[in-house]
Amino acid sequence: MHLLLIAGFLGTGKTTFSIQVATECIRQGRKVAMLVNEIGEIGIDGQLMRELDLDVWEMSNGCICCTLAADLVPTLEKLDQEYAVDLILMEPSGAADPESILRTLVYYKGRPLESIYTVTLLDPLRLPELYEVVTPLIVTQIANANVLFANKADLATAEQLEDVQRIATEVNPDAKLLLVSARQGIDSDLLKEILPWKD
Amino acid sequence: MTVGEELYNQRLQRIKTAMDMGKPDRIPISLGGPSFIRYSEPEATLSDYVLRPEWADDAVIRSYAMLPEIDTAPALSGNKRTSGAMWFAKTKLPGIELPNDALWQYDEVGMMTADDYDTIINKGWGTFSKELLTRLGYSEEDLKPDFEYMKKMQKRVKEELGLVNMSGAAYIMPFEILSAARSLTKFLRDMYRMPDKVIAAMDVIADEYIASAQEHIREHKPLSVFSGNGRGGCQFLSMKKFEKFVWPYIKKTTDAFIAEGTKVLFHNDAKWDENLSYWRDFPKASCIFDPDSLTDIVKIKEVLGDYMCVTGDVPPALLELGTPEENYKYARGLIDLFGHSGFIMSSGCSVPPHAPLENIKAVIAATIEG
Ligand SMILES: Nc1nc2c(ncn2[C@@H]2O[C@H](COP(=O)(O)OP(=O)(O)OP(=O)(O)O)[C@@H](O)[C@H]2O)c(=O)[nH]1
Ligand SMILES: [Mg+2]
Repeated sequence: MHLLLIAGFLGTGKTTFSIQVATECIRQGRKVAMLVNEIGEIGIDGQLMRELDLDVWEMSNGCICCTLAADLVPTLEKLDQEYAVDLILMEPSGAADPESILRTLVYYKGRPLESIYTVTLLDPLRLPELYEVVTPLIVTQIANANVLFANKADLATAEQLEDVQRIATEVNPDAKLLLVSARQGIDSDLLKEILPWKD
Repeated sequence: MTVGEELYNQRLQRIKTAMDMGKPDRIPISLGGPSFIRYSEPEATLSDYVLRPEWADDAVIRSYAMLPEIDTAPALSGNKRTSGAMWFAKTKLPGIELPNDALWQYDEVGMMTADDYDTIINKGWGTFSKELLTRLGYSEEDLKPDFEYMKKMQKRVKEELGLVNMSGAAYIMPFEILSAARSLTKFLRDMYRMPDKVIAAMDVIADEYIASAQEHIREHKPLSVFSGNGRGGCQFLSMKKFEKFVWPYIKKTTDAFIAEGTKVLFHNDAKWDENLSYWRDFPKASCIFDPDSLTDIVKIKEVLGDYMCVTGDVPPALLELGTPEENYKYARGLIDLFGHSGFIMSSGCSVPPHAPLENIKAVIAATIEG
């Protein structure tokens, strides 16, 4: 069981992106579970879940500090024990930092996760503004990423993309920055970059 | 004097001494949260709080009777249907919109509009907040507390169990309440694009908080009033924005509350490591710092230990998922760090819904050993 964390600020396109990743995995014959903050928001309706044979689990979005670990860990343990899942796609709240989520995994008592990988999505339309106001949040989201995606490529101007490049390099020069439009669909070669298996 | 009243006075003295940074007969213990229904009623689910609230309150009271070392009173008789109203959010409940044993959730739909800053400035926060609750679908009827029932429960908690309320009225700081009412994304945009309006509205809110607190403090003389903070800290907001949008309001309201002769209990969720030194501005022993385990407790001791009482901070995840030994060890560590003066043993935020009784008992045991 692998864990793929899809981080990024509120409204950046995490759910849209996750559905693309899930669809690609299922096309490859893999079993995927999605953990999201709220079912029924965008696109994850019953119809889609049936079509994809996708299990979607809702995490509570109450007081993060009190409930996150308590919610996440038993769900992971249940997935480990009762479902033969290859990949868990987890979308934490856009106001959460990935580090604090990963810290809760010390309580996980199932079989060890084969890999943990963090993808952070950035919204070129708002990044400079968010970087100025919620600096620490954006910094942890970028710094904890294994790979960064600038989403909404269909809307972003060249200037906005330059800003994303500048901020990403400033915070996490080691992470690769890729450009996508989750809404228009993501090239499966790009998705392979972030999937744990290489086939 | 009844046994309950005697206990009440003893506990009141204990808590007051700790809040004054003195050394009480023993470290006070403050524990409470949604798990407490289960200690007397192991089969109960969280939906019982919603579907049979009076039964739930009774179960919680019976749980406290099983744990007489706890000094502080539980939050009872809250109408769960309207609990999201405090955040101007919609409420989703176990047994209704959610599975029976899921925790209630608040959906920040962001019903406040950009024009509403002017509504706040022109009509006042009190008037506007009523209007906003109506927009959210909460009726006045639903929101009206059942005073008679509340009185009855308070009496039971005080006279039967002798439990003490650490704080009276709660004030969610302007930054926090607007970020919820407007929704976080939109509020951050407003801070960036129309900061003057945001500031003017926050000024109005702070002044109304102060007026309301003065009345409350004079009438009820609470040990402290509650100042709610979370997103304003350094996990989230840049220091520059903290100084502009958060700190001035914490400072202004706190100074006014203290001037009325009460203390201020800072319920600060999330991380505040970089902001802690600001709290040294307040007079010694006038505040209580109540972190949720995400702020580094060693740093809190270092920066604020000589300035105010601290409640700390057994992490909710440890209470829910750790062993009794781990919980005992954490509580022990807190006592080693803080010693016996100016410290209250507590969970970080509230005790989560499935924390086993053994873990609660382990924290209590460590505290009683001292
Ligand atoms: N134009 C454009 N819109 C996008 C793209 N990706 C997502 N969106 C839109 O952005 C909005 C938010 O997308 P979500 O996928 O819900 O974003 P999220 O990060 O999951 O949002 P939260 O869960 O609310 O934090 C939706 O209206 C999407 O259709 C994209 O690549 N291009
Ligand atoms: Mg989403």
